[in-house]
Amino acid sequence: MKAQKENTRTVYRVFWAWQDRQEEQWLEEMAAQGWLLKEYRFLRYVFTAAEPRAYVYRLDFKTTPDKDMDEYKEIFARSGWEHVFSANGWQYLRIPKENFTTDIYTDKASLIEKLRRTTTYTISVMLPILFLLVILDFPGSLQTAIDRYHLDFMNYVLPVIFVLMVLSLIFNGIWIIKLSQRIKELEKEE
Amino acid sequence: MQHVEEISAGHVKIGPATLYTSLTRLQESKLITPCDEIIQSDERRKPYTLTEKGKDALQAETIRRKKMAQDGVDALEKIGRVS
Repeated sequence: MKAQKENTRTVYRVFWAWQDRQEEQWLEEMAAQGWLLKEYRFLRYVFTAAEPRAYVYRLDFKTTPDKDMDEYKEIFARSGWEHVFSANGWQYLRIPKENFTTDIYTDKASLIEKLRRTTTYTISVMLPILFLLVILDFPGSLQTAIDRYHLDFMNYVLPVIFVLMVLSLIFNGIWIIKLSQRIKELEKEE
Repeated sequence: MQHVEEISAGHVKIGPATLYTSLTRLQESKLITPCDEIIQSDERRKPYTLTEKGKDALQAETIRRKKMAQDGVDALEKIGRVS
């Protein structure tokens, strides 16, 4: 943690996709201490100073194209939710605790539907990476090109790209497993 | 959302994410479609209208539920309860 300007504060913190509830809780604690989330960019949370206040934060995952973003924001605004910003499909929403009467999802069916859509979306992110790695033998064919054109510097870049692709597959894979567990839990509750 | 709460006398509350998901699904199933008509008093509100398919679905569902309710009324009569 480091102070930037007097009234802003930047915090680096890692929350994986499946830790969304912990992230909401942490943001609520920050608001109670007088730090309101302003934006998030790659592990970097920027807060602005405000009166300490009890807020409820919710993270929603929007899988539809963003051309209807105004409508999405408007629907939330009408029940008092402030749309803070969005990052890679994640929507950061908050409401002062005294105005929090209804959660953003009020029935199981729509919550399950959202989790299913998120699963489909995540698979669609993984498929091109899998395709490159397995079918096109991406590391192998790139190595051949490097050798042929004597692009020796690529020998340092290639392993990094390869590791990033594999890590992305692993984390998205974990996310899909966690999503299916959540769906099963919801379907069990009756 | 407020309207839903009002007409159901507070029994049904719809959260914004649930409403958004429902609108998306209804649109994808072509039961509703965005309406060109602009609401003068509230230009930020986005109106939708039922499609023919949507009207059919509404009718079929209403008939189904009416029949279910009638079955309930019949059963109550048999056991001497007022419905």
